[in-house]
Amino acid sequence: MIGVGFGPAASAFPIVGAMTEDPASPRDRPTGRSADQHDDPGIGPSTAGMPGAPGGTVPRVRRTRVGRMGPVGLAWRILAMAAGLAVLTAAQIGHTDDLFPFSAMAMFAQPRDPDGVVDDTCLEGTREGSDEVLPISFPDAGIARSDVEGNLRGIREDPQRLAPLARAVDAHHPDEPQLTSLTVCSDRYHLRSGAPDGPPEHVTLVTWEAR
Amino acid sequence: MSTAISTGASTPPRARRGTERLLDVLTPAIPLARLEVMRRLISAFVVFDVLLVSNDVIGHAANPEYFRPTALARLLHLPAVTPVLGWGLLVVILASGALGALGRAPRASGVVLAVSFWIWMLYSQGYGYISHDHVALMVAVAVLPTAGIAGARADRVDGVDGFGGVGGADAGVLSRQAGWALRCIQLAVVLTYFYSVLEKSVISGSPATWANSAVFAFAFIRRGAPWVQWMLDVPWLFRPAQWALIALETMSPLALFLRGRKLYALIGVFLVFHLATFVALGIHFLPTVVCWAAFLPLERITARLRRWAGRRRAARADAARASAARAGAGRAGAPDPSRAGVEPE
Repeated sequence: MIGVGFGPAASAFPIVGAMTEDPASPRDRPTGRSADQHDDPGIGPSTAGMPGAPGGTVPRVRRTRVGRMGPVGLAWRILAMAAGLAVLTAAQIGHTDDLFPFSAMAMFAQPRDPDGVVDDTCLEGTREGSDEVLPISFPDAGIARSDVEGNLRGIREDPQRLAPLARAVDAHHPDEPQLTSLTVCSDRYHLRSGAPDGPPEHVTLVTWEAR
Repeated sequence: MSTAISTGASTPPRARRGTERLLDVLTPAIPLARLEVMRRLISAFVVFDVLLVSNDVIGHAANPEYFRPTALARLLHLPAVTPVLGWGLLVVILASGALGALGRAPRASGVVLAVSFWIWMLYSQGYGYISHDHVALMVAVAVLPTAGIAGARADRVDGVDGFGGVGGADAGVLSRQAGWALRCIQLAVVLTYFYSVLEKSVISGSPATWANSAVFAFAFIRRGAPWVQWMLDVPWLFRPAQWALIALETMSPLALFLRGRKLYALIGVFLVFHLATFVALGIHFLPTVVCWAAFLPLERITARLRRWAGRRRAARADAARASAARAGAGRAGAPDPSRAGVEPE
């Protein structure tokens, strides 16, 4: 679910660039704020003069005012912030995804043995009227590779769980003959001192066959 | 203090100062205009996200057997997503996201966007694997509408519009509600990195075990672009890079304390990191990247747009005046109606 083209990414960065052109610290700028108003602990408000009311000259430094926030508004906000922090922290310590979106920050958090194996999981299948084994993409099966890997134990116990993926592949390719088998496979790399030791070994993890 | 928050006249001065400082940390008073820009940015990004990033929900409708609802989905008794439900959610998100991006009905569209996008994400992430790149974005859509009410109250007008507000009516208004919302997003962004170090430590036993392992080799084998495969031949590069990543993620809370150039430099380092992982591994982390905007003085965009619009108006008026002068050379001194409404810079 992460991995798209350059276009949108490129479009996001110019905005950031535009925003960072004025690097002055708010402490270095005149603020014109009265004594009962507050510093912004983040980046202070931009108080430079701007074209404002029609027909009038806008002062270079603009006075600001702070909107009201009552005790109830303050209380629920602080409680909500504390609750969110508590749940997020608990998810890390308990190493659980169940509290999503406040789940464990576990992407790539698993250490990998420099002399272990790395499975590059794949899908392949055969179609009606042919024994040729064809590579199949995960998007064609309507599922992400990581989702298949997360369910691998259940799929091995019950290969029928691959049947809906085969149906999804057939639905993506209505002009092709139907799948007669679908296999979760792996290009298995053996590591030595943190680098692949030779080409990968192609292994079959679990196969579903049409009845 | 000019807010309704008062620590009471009978409170000792030192305690009062402490409470005020805590309030300034948790609910800093920031320009409403900054919140309005952030709301538009996040609304627009959610539209992009459901179309190109978390776009697996409709596909999941084909695989109800794989639905493993997380706690919140179970609490809401969400059934496995169906095509009708998936497409319905998509339409609602696109409509409310577009309204939010245009600054229309900010409170209503924000609430609808928050609810529909959270359900969408519960369906995107409930099928076997949970990624953590959406934490800050989901926090953002949830908290931004809460300050919409603040905006209306602060200005005593409905439908405050950050870009089109009359004469920049909201530009000078500071709001603690807005500050709380952006502070929540900032915390979510920072903790996305900082807690990932904690998680690496919990799983590995120590950060060093993780940093000395072969995680980057694992990632490069499985996701590496063709132009970075050469790095697998020089794997000694990976270990210092892994230590550098741990150090960078550990430093992320500095973003809450730095200002000005130092803050921008830190944000720049994180953006370069994400650009590098995108180029090398196809991992962009954009849902978190966009939330870094919560650290920036976004209201300057509004100010620049207004200045730019003002200059355009002035240029148009000058052109009209020049052509009128040419057309009516004999009527020098007549009032020029095209000058009306042109503000000085």
